Amino acid sequence: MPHFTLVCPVCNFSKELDTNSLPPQGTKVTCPACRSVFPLQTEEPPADPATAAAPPAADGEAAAPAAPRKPIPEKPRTLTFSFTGNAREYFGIWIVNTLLRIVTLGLYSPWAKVRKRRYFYGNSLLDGAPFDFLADPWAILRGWLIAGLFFGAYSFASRANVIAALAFMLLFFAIFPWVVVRSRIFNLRNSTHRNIRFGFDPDYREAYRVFLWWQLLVPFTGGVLMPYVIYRQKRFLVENSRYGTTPFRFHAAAGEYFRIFLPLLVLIPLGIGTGVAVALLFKGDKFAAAVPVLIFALIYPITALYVQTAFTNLTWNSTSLGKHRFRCSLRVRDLAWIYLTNAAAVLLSLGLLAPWAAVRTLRYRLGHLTASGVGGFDAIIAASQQQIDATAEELGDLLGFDLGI
Amino acid sequence: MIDSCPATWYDGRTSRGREVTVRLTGETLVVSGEQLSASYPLAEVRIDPPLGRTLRALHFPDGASAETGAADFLDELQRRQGKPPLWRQLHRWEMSPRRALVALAATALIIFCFVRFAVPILAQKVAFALPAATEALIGRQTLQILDRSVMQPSKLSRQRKQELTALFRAVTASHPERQGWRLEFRDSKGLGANAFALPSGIVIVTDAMAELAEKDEEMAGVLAHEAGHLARRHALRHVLQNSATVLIVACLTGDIVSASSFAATLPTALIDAKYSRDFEREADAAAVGYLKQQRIPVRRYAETLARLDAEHHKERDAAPRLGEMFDNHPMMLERVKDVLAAE
Repeated sequence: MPHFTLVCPVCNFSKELDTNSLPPQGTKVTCPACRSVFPLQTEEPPADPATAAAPPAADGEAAAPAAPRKPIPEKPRTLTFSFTGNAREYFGIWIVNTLLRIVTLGLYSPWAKVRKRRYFYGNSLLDGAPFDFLADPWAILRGWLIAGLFFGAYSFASRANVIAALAFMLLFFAIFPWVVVRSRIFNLRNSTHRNIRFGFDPDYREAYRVFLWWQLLVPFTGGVLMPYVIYRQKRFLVENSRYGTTPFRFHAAAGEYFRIFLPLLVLIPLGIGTGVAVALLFKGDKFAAAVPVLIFALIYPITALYVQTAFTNLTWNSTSLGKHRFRCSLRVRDLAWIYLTNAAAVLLSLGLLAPWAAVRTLRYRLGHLTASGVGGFDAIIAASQQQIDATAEELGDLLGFDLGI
Repeated sequence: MIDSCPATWYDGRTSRGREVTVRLTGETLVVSGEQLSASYPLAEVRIDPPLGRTLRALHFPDGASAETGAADFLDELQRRQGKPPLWRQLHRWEMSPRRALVALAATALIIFCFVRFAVPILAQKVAFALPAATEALIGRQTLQILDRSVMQPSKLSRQRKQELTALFRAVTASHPERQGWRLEFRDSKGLGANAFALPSGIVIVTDAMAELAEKDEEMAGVLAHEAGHLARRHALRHVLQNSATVLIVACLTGDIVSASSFAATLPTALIDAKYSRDFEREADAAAVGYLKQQRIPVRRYAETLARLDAEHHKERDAAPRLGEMFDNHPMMLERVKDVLAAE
């Protein structure tokens, strides 16, 4: 019986299959080991550039019986992210940035922003090689001024009359997906690793679909649709991103995003139930009245942190780049401890420990992210260049949106 | 002098890194490694400014780059390029603990001077430039909020109210802007014996206050104090100064972690106490001025203040109220002393 060896391009898992029972060429199959989805290729893949580059040597050695005909398949290995910055260094950068921002009445902010980000990127290593952030501060300043004008016009209009303010809100909703796309383009295009830029392919039609159309449907379904909308948004953001010419792939199913909310279906009614029960049992007691408030104050941050962490983990774990699959293993209790102690430290030090808090958080996050697969990230091809302005990103920044994944 | 360094070379077309040596020969940078040799005029190479202890890259005109940790060599190259030493200077400030402390002290000093001197002047300018309609709106809304939360309708007799209103007219008679100023009566358990001025010329006297200052002589001092607040637009300036301070402190501390914006509350509360002390002193001076003019003994006013303080202290001992974390008892004693000194 003819056999075919199916090899997963992401994790190199292989399986012998009967050729007769194979689905047709190009069918999407799911890897049983890492759950990546890839198109089935029944024909031999084209020889990879490494072997194609040296045909004479291969031919010459074909005569020798001892020489292996096929290159030995590389073993998958795990590449780690790490953060090498420290709080003492960053404190210096932070305080000088703050001083210069004050002295220049805020005009230094774009330079401060680039310097801060370059410090964080330059200390974030993947497999020993740093990232870099190349944005031009002048472009950010320009974007800042445009965003500032927009905001000024909005606050002026909202004071003048209600209709103008409403029109501005509508305008903002209408351009929001565009802002998301532009901001992502600006950020990724200016991020490099091994002298290769990242990039984002603008698909405005899909952006409007997931950030406006689906988003608008959420309130009408009583929020039930939310996990699906988030899934679509993450998929959009991941699948249009690329490193050089290599696109990021997204393997999650919508069901996995719904599953994140399952514990909440128990936790939230439980919290409300306890609150109501306590209020009824100790009716009229001064302190019992505070219990529902306390329960809410406790449950809300934990829930928000849990959902956020679960989304981050799931999104990274469903993302692959080339033959590498990312693995993100953040834990809610670790993050809760970090955020709680950060807040206490920053509060008690009147803000002076803010640099320490930022470094610590990033170190934890990067320490729990890995990429595993075959080879390293050293065969990525660069894409052609294009300039993108920073207006959209600054608009997003001003309005308080976190546009990262 | 060092004339070469090891580096990792990326050609900018693929992500493969190669170990190379970068060597300076005259005005030319020569890159050499396995199966690789390239040379560039030094003037056309862009060199990353130093930043922490991160690797820095040489960016070559053809899109290639070389990453290296050899900071001294790159600094030397930048000196040779004749680049202004701006970024190197910045880096020195960032990396030296002593200079970071100097920067910290300078930052703290600037913020302190701004909050202490510039904000009050700006707030004063804005308060007097604000349209009357805006101020009236703020005053009305503040009164509504207070009515809903801590104040109840007054239980004073109509006659007593009329007497006090007449007294208020007499006290404010010499103020050129008195039009629109009015006296309001409220009962309030939470506020105790109290009188205060709101934006747009509203003065509120609580029932407990009217009982505490029975004689007109005593009440005249209290009302003159509030009229002093009104004439100087203290209420509005207070609101403006506090919003500005909150904004500044939040900008400085709140941009790293959202939870840390709590950090804005403590310094704001401290600064707030300082602001209100300045305003109280000014209003006291106005009250003393009025009393002297009317030949009412200033001592009466000082006694009223002392009695008010004792009254508040008594209540506080019975049940400490929230929001009085910053005890203003010492401030009251100081005020009484100042008033007596003015006699």
